[in-house]
Amino acid sequence: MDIFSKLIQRKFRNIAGERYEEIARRYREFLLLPEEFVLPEIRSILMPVDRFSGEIPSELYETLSAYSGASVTVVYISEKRTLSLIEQTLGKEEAEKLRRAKMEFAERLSHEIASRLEKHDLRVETRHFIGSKSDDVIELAEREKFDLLVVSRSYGSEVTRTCPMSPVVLKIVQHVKIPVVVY
Amino acid sequence: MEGNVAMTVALAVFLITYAMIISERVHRTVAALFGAAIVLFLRIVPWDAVPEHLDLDTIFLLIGMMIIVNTARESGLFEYIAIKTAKFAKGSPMKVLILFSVVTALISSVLDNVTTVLLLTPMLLYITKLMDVNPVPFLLAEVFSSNIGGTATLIGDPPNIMIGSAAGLSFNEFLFNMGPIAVVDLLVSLGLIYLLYRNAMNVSEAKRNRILSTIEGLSEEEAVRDYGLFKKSVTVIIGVILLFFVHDRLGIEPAVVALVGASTLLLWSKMEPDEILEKVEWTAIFFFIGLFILVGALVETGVIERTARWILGYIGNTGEALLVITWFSAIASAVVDNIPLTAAMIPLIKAMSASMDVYPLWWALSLGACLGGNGTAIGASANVVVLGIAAREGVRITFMDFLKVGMTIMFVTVMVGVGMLWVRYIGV
Repeated sequence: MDIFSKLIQRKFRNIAGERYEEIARRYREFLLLPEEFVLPEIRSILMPVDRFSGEIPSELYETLSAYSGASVTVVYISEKRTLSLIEQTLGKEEAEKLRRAKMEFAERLSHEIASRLEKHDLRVETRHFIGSKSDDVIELAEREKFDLLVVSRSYGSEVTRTCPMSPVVLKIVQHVKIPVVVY
Repeated sequence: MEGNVAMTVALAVFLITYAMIISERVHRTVAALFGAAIVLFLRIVPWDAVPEHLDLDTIFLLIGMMIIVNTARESGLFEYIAIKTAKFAKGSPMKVLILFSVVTALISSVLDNVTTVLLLTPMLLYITKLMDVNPVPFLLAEVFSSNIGGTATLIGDPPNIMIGSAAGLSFNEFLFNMGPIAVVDLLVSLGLIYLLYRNAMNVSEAKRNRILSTIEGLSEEEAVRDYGLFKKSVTVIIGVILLFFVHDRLGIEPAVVALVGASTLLLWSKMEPDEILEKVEWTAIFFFIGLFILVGALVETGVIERTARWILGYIGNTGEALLVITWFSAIASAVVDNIPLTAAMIPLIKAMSASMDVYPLWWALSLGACLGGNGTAIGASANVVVLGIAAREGVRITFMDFLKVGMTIMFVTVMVGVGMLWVRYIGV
């Protein structure tokens, strides 16, 4: 009977092989796979933000509201390399001024996001520190065992038409092992 | 080349090509073109006679319909239909079986079977996974419905296109003669599938509600990639079908209807012609060209005429011929590709026209060639496509599994069809 199975496969390849691949790919775009029927339990969410992230769309708040009761850690990381560059070129005082301004902005932004998230029954913790926008997020996700990472596609740098996702986000997505929502 | 030698060579080339097509070691188009090249090289078919043997009606009808189908496919029309059908079924296995079979049969009756099953099977498999039921009866019903639906019209299956073109039969004649048979056969095959697999049709109420909520969550709008093209495709398909109904009254060939539809859609959709034309299954078109030349060699050398005379020595009237042609083409189609079989049978029936009324025999050939494909897993392209998709998705249907059900369906549906033709043309 193996002969017939091989014959059918050969005929299938000749008749419809490539066409089927294309159709299956299109169906996968809007049909959930069986393993996707079960929603993973989400208890902790990591949400890095910065001045490039832009305004968070209301759809994202609605999506996150599905995980009511979960804790969301909103992290604002000021890029260490940028600050040291400023220090080297403009001096320590200017660097300190910039750091303070960044922290104030971080405080304001985190507070704004936190109050919106809390309305959806989510517990929010905010953190601000100086470090690497990509490496620290990757490390945090791994070390503190977050269940979900939510990040703007323009986190870390502005996006362009030719590059619709920032290199920082690309690096994070490639390295974290948890589910990621890119908005 | 001398008469008898030419006859032997033509027959040998034809049989070797058939063997190559059956084995599928060589692509069927390559086999047919190689065979055609040999008979042309040996001048068994003189170059001047090639246009006589090439059935341009069939070739252009196929090209026209392929352009329409491939353009419509780009819009997401078929995925839209698949999701709508799934929603109508409301998570009931029985409704899934019936609705998908009916939709498949309807689409297959106007568009090609391979495209129909290619686009509906992934959705059917997805729903059976959701329902957590044995997908085999649903897939088998899909195959049988596609082959039965294709029997109903002039444009439903390539053998019908070839028969219609060779015998000058109209779309309405096909619908009038084969449509009722297809409807009864579809009901019979669904009944048989239900009887054989009724245990697979049960789903608990709780599971059904869960399925329903998942299916309701699917959006058919998401499947539509280009709304403008979607509307234009539906309009053109409906227009083409309406034109087919009146083509004989207007005195235009079915191929012209298909070409008008295809060119209208190309013009209206403003799609790149390169993009659409490259999706026309040129391998199938060249397969037909090769076959027409190969069969032309049998006609030129007198093989067909001799075979017809030999058959007529045993068959005395149209009734006997009806039975022989139906059953021979059905059983042969279960093993051999029905396209080369029909290509060889057409000149044979034409040759018999001097001795008897062959009009009912065209329907007999259509019935056998289209429904015979249900007999085995390799009997028709739709069978191979559904089984191939199933295998890729981890559902194993062996040759024997198919044979047991397929042969039953084939014998019962052909018997029903023969009975209906007999009553209409021979009398009780």
